[in-house]
Amino acid sequence: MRFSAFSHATLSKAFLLDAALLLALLPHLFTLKLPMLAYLLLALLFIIKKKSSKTVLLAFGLLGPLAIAASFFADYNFTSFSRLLVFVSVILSLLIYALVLQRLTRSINFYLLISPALLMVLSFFFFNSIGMLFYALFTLFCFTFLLLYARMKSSFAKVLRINALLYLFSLPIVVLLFLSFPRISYKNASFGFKAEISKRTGHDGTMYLDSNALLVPSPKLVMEVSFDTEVPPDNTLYFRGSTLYVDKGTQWERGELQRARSELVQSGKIVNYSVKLYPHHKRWLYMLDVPLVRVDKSRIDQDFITLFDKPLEETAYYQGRSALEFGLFQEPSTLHKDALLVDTTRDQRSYEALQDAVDPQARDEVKAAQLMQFFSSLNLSYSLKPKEIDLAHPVDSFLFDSKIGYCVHFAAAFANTARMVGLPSRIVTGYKADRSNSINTYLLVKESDAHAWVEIYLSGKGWTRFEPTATAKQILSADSAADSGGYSPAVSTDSTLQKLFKQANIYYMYSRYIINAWVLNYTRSKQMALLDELLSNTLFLLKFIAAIAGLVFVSVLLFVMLQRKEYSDPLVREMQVLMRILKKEGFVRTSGETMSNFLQKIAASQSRYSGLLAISSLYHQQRYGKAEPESKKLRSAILAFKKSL
Amino acid sequence: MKYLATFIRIVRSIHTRPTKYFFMVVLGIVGLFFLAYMHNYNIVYLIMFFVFALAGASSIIGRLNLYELEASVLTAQNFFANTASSYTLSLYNPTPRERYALECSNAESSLTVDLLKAQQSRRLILSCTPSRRGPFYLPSLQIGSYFPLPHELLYRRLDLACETLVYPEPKGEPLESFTAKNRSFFGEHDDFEGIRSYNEGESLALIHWPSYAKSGELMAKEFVLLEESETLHFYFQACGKDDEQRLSQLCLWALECRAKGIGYSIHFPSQVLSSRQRSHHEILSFLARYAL
Repeated sequence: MRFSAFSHATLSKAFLLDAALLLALLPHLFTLKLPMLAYLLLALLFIIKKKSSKTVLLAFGLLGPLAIAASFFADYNFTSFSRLLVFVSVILSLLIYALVLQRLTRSINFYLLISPALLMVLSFFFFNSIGMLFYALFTLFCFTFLLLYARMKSSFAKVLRINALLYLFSLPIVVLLFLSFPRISYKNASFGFKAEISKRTGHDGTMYLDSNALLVPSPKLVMEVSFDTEVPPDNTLYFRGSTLYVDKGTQWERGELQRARSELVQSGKIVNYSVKLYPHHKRWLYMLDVPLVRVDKSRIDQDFITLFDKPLEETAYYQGRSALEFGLFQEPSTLHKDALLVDTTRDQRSYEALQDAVDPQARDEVKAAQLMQFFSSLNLSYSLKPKEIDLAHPVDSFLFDSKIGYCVHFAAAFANTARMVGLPSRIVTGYKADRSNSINTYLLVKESDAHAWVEIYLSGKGWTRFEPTATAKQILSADSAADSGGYSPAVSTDSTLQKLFKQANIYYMYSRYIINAWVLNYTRSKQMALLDELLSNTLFLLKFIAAIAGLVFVSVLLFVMLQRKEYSDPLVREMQVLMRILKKEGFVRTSGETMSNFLQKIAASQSRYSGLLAISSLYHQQRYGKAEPESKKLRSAILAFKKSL
Repeated sequence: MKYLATFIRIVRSIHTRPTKYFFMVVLGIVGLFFLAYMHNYNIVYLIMFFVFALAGASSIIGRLNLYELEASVLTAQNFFANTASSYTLSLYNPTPRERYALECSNAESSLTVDLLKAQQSRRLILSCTPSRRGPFYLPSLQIGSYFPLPHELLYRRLDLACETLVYPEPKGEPLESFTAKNRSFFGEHDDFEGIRSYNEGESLALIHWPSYAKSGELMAKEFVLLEESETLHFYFQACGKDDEQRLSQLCLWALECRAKGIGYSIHFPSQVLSSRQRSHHEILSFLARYAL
């Protein structure tokens, strides 16, 4: 459908007003209580049908208070009305009531004209999300469009163009104001429906080996991480969740014993990052292995697990600082026995095999290396759909019978076998992110990145991370390498389309993250950090100025482009094209010079311009002579002349 | 520099006047500011900044909409003092871009031009009421617009620089009743011819008093005109109490004579204007400029 097909005459002022009202009411449809919603929809029917007799008005006048009363029946006490949302809801209902009565009278007054804006402002009390951001901007754009449409009485496309001009002109001012306008409040709006709250399951501090372990890889987001510099290498992207010491056969648990705190010795590679962690109703705040700073209202336990003071019910934003190279030391005497507890009789075959594979007299490091070698020699396979293992002998069953499993099976078997050869071990669960889910400094951590790995206490090195899943010789087809930690054979099973989709999804999430970080959660602290950076980093300051100048330049450029010339005479329009061609050749028509003289003068100057005489003749015949105006003919002649140059 | 100079010229030539929507915008910005400031509500901040910036952008685009428009007078004739008279203007858009929602007005009348296409002109007929006779400059044309957003009225005054002449206000006794009372204005009286019934409104000098004394009935004298002609003779001094009244009266009679195709002469103390020697416009122009 062509835009110009919208005839202005068909769109009355009342229609435009109704369009604005509907747009402004849209978010309220999700917040209004049922009686009020029914009242509104009923009124809408009468407004559309243009029936507004006195009886109808009277009926709606009586129905309105009833609908409001029914809507707030449960809130008939002052305590409820002191709550902001209830208070705003009542105001909204009264506004809608007045709006319906006004609209049914069919007369458009000042109150009706400002109602869309009032409704829009009230919707800000209910929503604070990226969706709301785009809705608000779109609605504002539509409001100005409708205002212009009513005033210009012109075609849809022309109104759209003028509206775009307005916004292009405004954009640099808005960006500058947004960045520089002083903020006093550190906290974001605490009222309204929270944005992007997605509940998730997944890492819960217990690792199952039975049927509960059959997981479905989920692309659901766990957290978004933005590093100050580049995303660290793949083999360091371990987000620490919980440590598990006790093997209960079907599952691994943390155990109830009090443990001594490990002493952290960091040996380098420190990274700073900010995290947006979605609510998961547990207390873990995932930090990159191993955290150096405590997040506000949280504590770091003896195993360097970060725990929030209450279950996380809202999206958490926090700054992290971690050492990627570290040592976690403990006095051997403080290592609790449950890190060595193993039932060798349960997995007899494994125990016997280890007697040959691992030298009991060797140093801890050698033992651990031999253990990894032992796992590699077993020809294990990685699969997210493993065969069920015999839970009476889980290690034997996995290592010698099924030989198929994923991280939990590898980790459980490795931790057990380490204990069998006298190495204290524990399983660490959390998330192992993948750099393929990153753009620049931004990293996505998904549910499918949930992972389990093993830490073994080595004399002289402390608790050291081991990745037994990496010993898998192959990934079985049709399985994702999701939680393999990037150590499994790199067999990608994604089709091109899936890859594209994945990439598009990362970009989508990245843009959402940027909007969240720089628009919705742009606070005073961010503003001050930006200001500090501008004052202290000349290069950054120059980049910032260049970016703003670039934005202004693009806006002005688009503004000029959109202000295209609109010659009503098609012949004049075509001749303007010729004028531009001649201008490039160095010829400019002076004021008062006739078209004929101008073209003849150029044609006489060089033979290559002789074609202008024909164009001049054609133009004058069509414009002043009896020939029918045919701009196509003139255009062809001009194009032919252009080619001849 | 050139663009800056142009911009300054545009800003200076176009004036603004806030509308009620301007105060709504201010109120809205203040409201949004409080809502945003209390909670660092960035969506609200953005909307507030957009409202502010859009108002500014609208002001600039609105100015561009009015700038460069040209107006010229096409016809401006037959203006009479204290009488609404119309004149025709041509509003021309010399730019290659369309102009929207133009409200053209003088102090008394206005016209709306919804769309003025690029390099096209529009005829406008406006009216005005000059208050006195004599040379008169047409009132400046105000081109205003609420385009693109209605929070302010942008307007520009174009001086039409057109001098015209305002004739005296045609006012006084109608020609018909005047000639009925003063038939001598058609020529010189001669011999007494007889008597006839007296018509109300006729000069008292025509009453034949002897007949009234005899019969008690008002009778009028009838005379034979020596030279009955088609020319009416108006005597300036006899037309009213002061110059303005006389000029108004003469203007009215001149217009009526022209409408009826009757020739006339106006006898001033120093000269005589005859419709047979001068054009109607010349005579009215003389009346317009008399003693100025």
